[in-house]
This record gives sequence, structure tokens and C-alpha cells, in this order.
Amino acid sequence: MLRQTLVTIFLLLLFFLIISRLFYWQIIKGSQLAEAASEQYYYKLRIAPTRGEIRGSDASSLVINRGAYLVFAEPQKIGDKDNFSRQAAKILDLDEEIIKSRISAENIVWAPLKHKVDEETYEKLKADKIEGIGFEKESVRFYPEASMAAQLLGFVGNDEDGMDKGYFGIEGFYDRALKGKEGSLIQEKDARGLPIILGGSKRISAENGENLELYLDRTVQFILENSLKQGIEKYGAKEGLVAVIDPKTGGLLGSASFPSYDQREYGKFDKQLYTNPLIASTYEPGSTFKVLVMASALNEKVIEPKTIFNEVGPVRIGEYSIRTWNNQYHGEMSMTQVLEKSSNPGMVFAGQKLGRDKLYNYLKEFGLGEKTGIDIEGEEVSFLRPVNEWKEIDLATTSFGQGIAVTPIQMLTAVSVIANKGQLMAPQVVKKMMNQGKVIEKKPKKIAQVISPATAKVMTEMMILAVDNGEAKWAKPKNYRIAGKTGTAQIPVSGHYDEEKTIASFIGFAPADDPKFVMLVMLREPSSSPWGSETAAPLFFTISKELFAYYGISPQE
Amino acid sequence: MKYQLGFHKPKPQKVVNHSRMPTFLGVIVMMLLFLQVMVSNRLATVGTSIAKIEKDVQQLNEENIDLRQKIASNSSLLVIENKAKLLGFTTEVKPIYISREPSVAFDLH
Repeated sequence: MLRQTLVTIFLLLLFFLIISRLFYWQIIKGSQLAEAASEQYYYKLRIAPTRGEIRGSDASSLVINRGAYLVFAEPQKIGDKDNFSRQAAKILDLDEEIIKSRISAENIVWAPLKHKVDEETYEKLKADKIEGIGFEKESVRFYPEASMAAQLLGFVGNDEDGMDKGYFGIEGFYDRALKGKEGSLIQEKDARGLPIILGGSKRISAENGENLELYLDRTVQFILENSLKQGIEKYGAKEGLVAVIDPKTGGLLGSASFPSYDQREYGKFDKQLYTNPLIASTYEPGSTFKVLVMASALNEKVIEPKTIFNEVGPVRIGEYSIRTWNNQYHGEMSMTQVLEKSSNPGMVFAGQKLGRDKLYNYLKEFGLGEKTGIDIEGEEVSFLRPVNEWKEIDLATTSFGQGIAVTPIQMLTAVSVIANKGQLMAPQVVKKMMNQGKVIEKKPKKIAQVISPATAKVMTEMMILAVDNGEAKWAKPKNYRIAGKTGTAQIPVSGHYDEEKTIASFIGFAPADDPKFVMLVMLREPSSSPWGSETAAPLFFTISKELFAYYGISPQE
Repeated sequence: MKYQLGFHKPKPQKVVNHSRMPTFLGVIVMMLLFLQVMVSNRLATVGTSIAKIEKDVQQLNEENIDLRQKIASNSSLLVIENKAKLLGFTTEVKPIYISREPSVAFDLH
């Protein structure tokens, strides 16, 4: 009896042991084992999306993708680690010690060596038949137009996880749209690793990134870059910028600035060059700003084109004296002549007529003091000081464009109001987004009616006369009606203005009666002459001639 | 109780209905089983074809990317400019403008 009981207990214990072990393996470790098993009979593939392309307005390719390779090492297949490191370092142009440390790490079966390796390097590595080296296809950005519009386009680098990420410019702003979504494929496989059609499979297709079509005209960009390079050399400037927009849509037709960088080798350049000065650098606009103040005063009807100002000498504002740029005074002059002669005392008169509060409101209406919202990464803003902090001298200096800072895109957008019948349009770079036949158009966006169409027309005529009768008239193309204004602004340095250094600029639009483009030319510290009328203005007209020919715009007079 | 001599009450006869349905179903099942085996056998080797097709698709995609790159490179403005220079084109632009108003000699009406 006792023996029977003992045997029964023993069998029960054995049974309990088996059940608990089964419980351990099937319940507690079940998911882990299933995962491990699936590694054996499922293969998992990551389907990388193709990054979207960036195209010009003529559908030309500005940024596309090309094939490249990820070179990796399989340390367990490497016999001589020293020899491997030496060979790989030589071809890949990497540090030998870094490669050695990567392949010598413990329990490593796979170590990446270099991404985005080109075809030529790949062929060299393949030819050397280095044991333990492997390759995986990946794609890299390709720029058919070389470094054209680098600061506008941006570049693609890596994020913390080593994945592609766009930085600066359009690549940065539209990174999410360009990136697309990764897909995956999980497929049951046989002993040879081939897919089993009747087996389980789960496929999530990759969504390729969206292709972008810009307002940017490749030919206009080409003209701007070539002309600006020649202009900087001719006038001995340290930096230069030219930008062109369509006043009716706000579309950016071209934007060139130097010094710039090459986005194909962005790592070799100073990081400060990555930012686009069109949106990120602020400057005091000088006399080009007068057109905005004059337009505001005309719109408020506090002055007319024929309102007379008596320019007899410097204007005193408290302890300050406001002089003309050349210390010459012309007696009685109309507001039109104030613009033609670029008279600072005349503009102080117009500004005082308008008044501090109204001027401030108009500046806000013109879009100053806040970001334009242009679709490029890295836009900065120069805030307007609150109006209740403005002193009398601030009203005076703002009237002729000193003591106030703007970005080039703000200035372009504001002057476009005059070219566009008084309407302020939001500046835009991307016109369309396309993906698998679906097209999303980014329609032009009107922000406000800043001045009346009648004021815009009058202001246009005044600007035409400013070009025809101003200091830069000698450079203007014959028989074309071009509206514009020169500017020569001193550069503030440590709380005062430098006596010799200037930013020479010219802003204008043409053909004046039905503007095709608004253009801003800026040259920083031109050494041949500090004046905008002798540097930026002639450059503006040189570029305009090329644009007239390209757009087929015939003379209007 | 009275019985008629020599006669017994006849026993009810069993009617055996020989249905063909089970046989028919059995044949269908066997045929389907056979078909299943045949199809599985054929499809078992399709994996190789699929792998080959996928490899071909990938290769064509890669060739497509390479060709797009070549087209884009050859149609870049820098290349066009260099070729234009070789052909004798210059950047001197001298447009000739024709008046909108036709001269009297062209006015035939």
C-alpha cells in the first residue's frame, strides 16, 4: 500500500514537473521562441522609399537620386584584420584605426564602414576581392546643375539614427514630404531562402517621397549666378545677392548669393554658408526703403507727387542733423524729385507728414517685422521696435531706410506690392507637389491690399522717373520702362556707422506697366565705389537686359 | 385463438436503399485532394521564379535611375553651354524688334 502511494506521488510530481516546464516554454518563453522560429522560416525586408526629386519650372531636374553603396564588413569572415583595415582605409579614404576598432568590437557580425560610396570606389573594392567586405545598394542625391542654387535647395545629411534627413533650404523645409514612408515585406521562405507562394506573406508598399516643382526658372538662375559672379569681381564686393520674384504670384524665379557652398560636399564648407542670406541675413535697406514710405504717404493722401518740399539744408532732429547723401541741396522740389535726387531731408518731410503711428502700421501691412513664411528652412526675422518706443529721430531715420533692419525677401515682397496693384502676395518657392500621378498645386496667396491700385500706379510712375532721371540713368537699357530705386546704406559697426563700408543695392521691377519680375541686387562693401548707383544699379540693368531677351520683352518706348 | 394451418403472418420485408451519394462525394474529395497535391507541387517551385522576377525588377529600377541621371547630366545648362561654345554660339544678345504696326507697303487692303 505504501509503495503504491509513493509511486503515485512520484508520478504526480513528474507530471507536475512536465506541465510546469511546458508552461515555461509555451507561455513564458512562447513569444520569444516564435520570434526566433520566424527568423528561420520568414525573411523580412525593409523596402526603402525613393526620396522625391526637385524640379525647376520647366520640369528640368535640379535634384534627383542616383545609385550608391553602403560598404560594410563582416568581421567573422575577416582573417587578417590589419590587412583588411589597411586595404579598406586606402580605397575608402578612411582612418585605418577607426576601421580596425569597428571590426574588432566584441560580438559584432556586421559593421558599416561607409555610406554613399560611388560606383568607381565600389568597382575598386570589388576588384580587390577583400575577404569580409560586403555591399548594399542605397541611393544618394545627385545635382545635374552642380552647385547651382545650393543655398536655396539645401542638402541631405544624416540624422542621429543614420537615416537621410534634409537640412536647410527646400530639402530641410520639405523633408517629410520628400522622405516618403518606408515599406516592409515579410515572406515565408523555404530551406533555400526562396519565397513560398502558398506560405504566409505580408507586404506594406513603400510610399515614395513627393516630387516638387518650383517656381524657380533654371535659365533665370543661371543668368543670375553668372552675372552676380561677374559683378562681385568687377565691383570688388565681399558678398553679393540677387533675387527675382514674380509679383503676381509671389513665386521665387531665382536667387543667387555668393559666397556659397557646394551641396555635394557640404562637409568641407563653413556651416555659416549653409544659411540662405535671402531669408536669414538682415541689413539696413537705405534709400531703397524710401519707395515704401513714399507709397504709404501717398496712399494716406498726406502728400501728392507734386507736393513741394524746400530743401535748403540739413534737417535738425534734436541733436541730430539729417543731410543729403552728397551734401547738395536743391531748393524747392516735388516728391517725385525727392525720389529722383534720393533726398533724405525730403523723405523726413514725407515721414513726418505721415506720422509715426501710420508709418508703423503701413510697415506692418507691408509685411515687415515678421516672417514672410516663405517655404525655405532657416528664415530669420528682424522685429520692428514697438511704436511707443520710437523717438522723433527714429521716425526720421526710418523714413530714409536707416535704423531699421529687413531681410532681402521682406524687401522684395514689400516692393512687389507696388508692382502688383497694391496687393501683398506671400512669397513661395514650391509651385506643385506630385506623387504617383496626384498633383497638389500651391496656389498663390494674397495676404492684403496694402495700398490702392491708383497709389501703386502713381508710385510706379515716380519710380520710373527716379530711374530715368536719377544717378543711375546712364546704365539703364534704352526704351524700356523700368521702375526702381538705388540704395546706399552705411553698415552699423559697434553702435555707430562705418564711414567707408556700405551695402549698395538696387530694387526695381520691369516692364513697369505689366511687371514680369521684381529684382533686388545687393553688394556688400563694393570697393570700386560705395554707391548703389555705380555698382548695384548697373548690375541690375545688365541682368534685366538678359531677362528681357529671355522673356521676349520688347522695348515699350 | 384460431390459426390457419400452414400459414404464418408474413414478416415485413426490409427495403435496402443503395444510395450512390457517399461514393460520389468520396470521388470528389479524392479528386480535390489530387488537385491540391498537383497545384502545391507546381507552386512549390514558383518561389524561384518570383525571386528571379523580383531581382529583374530591382535591376531595371536601378538601370532606370542610372539612365535618369545620365539624361539629367547631359541636359544640364553647364553641358549645354559648353557644347554651344564649341559650336560657335556666343552670349552676345542683339535682339531685333519689329514694330507692331505694319508699314504701308504691307497694307494690301
